[in-house]
Amino acid sequence: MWRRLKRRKILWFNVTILLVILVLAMFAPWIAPFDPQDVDPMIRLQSPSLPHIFGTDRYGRDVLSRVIYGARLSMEIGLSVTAFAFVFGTTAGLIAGYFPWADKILMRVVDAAMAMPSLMLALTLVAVAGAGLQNVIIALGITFSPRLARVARATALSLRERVYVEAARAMGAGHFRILALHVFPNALSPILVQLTLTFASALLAEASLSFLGVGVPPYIPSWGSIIANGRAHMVRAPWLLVFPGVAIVLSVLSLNMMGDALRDVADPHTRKQ
Amino acid sequence: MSKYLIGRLVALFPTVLLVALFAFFLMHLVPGSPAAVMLGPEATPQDIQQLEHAMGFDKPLIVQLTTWLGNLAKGNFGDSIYTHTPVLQLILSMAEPSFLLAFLSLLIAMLIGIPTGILAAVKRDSLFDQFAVTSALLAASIPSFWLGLNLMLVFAVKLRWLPTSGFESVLHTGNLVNLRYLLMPALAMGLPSSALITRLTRSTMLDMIAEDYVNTARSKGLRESVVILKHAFRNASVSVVTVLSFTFLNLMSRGVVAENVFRLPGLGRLIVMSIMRRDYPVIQGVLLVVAAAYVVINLLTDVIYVFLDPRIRY
Repeated sequence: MWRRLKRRKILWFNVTILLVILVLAMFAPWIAPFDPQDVDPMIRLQSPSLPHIFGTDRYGRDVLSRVIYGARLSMEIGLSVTAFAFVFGTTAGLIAGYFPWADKILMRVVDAAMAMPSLMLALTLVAVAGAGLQNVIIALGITFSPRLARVARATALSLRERVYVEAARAMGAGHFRILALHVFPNALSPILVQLTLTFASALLAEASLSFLGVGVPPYIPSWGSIIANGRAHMVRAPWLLVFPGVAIVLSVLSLNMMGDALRDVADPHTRKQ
Repeated sequence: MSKYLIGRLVALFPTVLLVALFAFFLMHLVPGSPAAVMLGPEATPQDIQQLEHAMGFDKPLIVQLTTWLGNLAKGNFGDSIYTHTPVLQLILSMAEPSFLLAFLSLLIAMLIGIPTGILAAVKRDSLFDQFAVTSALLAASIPSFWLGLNLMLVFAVKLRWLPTSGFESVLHTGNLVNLRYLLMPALAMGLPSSALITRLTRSTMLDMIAEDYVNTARSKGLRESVVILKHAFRNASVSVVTVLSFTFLNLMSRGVVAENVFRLPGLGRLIVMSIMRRDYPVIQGVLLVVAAAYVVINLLTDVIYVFLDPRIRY
């Protein structure tokens, strides 16, 4: 598995891109050339040039710095939502796949949650919970957990009948032990693939929420809100549209390509396709 | 077949019921009285009490729930707190742009996805194949609101081919020229959605091309285009149908932002406006109507699936 992973150049290329974005996000205060909140009306809506290589917005704030700080928010939300979905989605899915009695109830709930468009569900949850970073993370976590639960369930369902699980059961292992030590580790690769896709979906959803002005408070720079604010000036200042948009596409694309490459490695059956 | 259909219909009921329960408890999850939240911070205690009484919030929860579900069954979704009109009427008056847009986007997604997928499978591992697979991944990574703004900049502002925003009814006027308002948003939603269809068409076509009956057709001396389109694609089309209901939901999500970019008076605008106004009955209504539409589409695709693939019989 590891040898096959190592040979995937596309995978490592995209991991590198994502790591660069993560480093930018973590060290934003040191990397960003300006304070993202610094207002200077004298230089408002300047086109890209030195020292503002991504231009400035309608308040004269440096767009490059705002895009770097936007990465901070995106990565924070993306990672937290993925972790949330991993913990809750995987647990629910494994339980549903392993215990037939739980399957009926849990999967009905998953079906219902997945009968609503993800963005509408997330919007509604944010509306109920109230704005704020934490609430956005919880809302998106709830929205994307069911997909993970489905993947984990399907895998657990097939693993339940495996010989080594039966052997463990015969040796008197408890259900929790079997789930944690035998089912979970073997379900990890499809879960990992789904996690990268969840990360990508969370980034897109966060950008959409910020674009709509719902969720994260407007003073926190976000790729979605930079675009929303730049919209009124997009004819005169298209750089307000271009740079944050490219940032979204680049990070989501690298995650999608990672997921794709991981799927090829994890599932040799579809590899040739 | 009819037994299968009835079974499916019965199975759909819990899903819709759960969505309804979710929508109901949503309002009660809000900390404090729902009436206070709806009225905002400036409401007086009397106002709050009055609304609580008018909406039945002072009754026991179980009574509220059964009344609400009973009303839903009768098609009564309650009244909007903001416009005071019945929710269902409000939703129906704004449904046209959303569903028309979803339909048009789906059409665009299929027009892009199916031919690209077929061609990529036929010319497997070629430069075109790699291009198709990579651009599908790229397309899936583009946010619809961003693509929409870029399209607006090019086709409406620079070239002036299409109106920047607005909507005129197609159903009421019967005037197809009014579709021009939907063209850019449909492209902004359809192009990213085509990714899934491209990939699915490609991978099922690869499976089909390897099948014996395709070889047989080819050895009979049929033209390659007939082999691919009539023999291989006919069977591959079944799997494209299976993603239709998922694509519908995806398009409803994308519609929320696209309608806000292009100022289309649809359900996506309605739900965002209702969230800003804390108009919970409308939010509940939109969620329910869209979920119900999804469930119906899901059922329809199952039926089409059986129809297209004679091997499946119930």
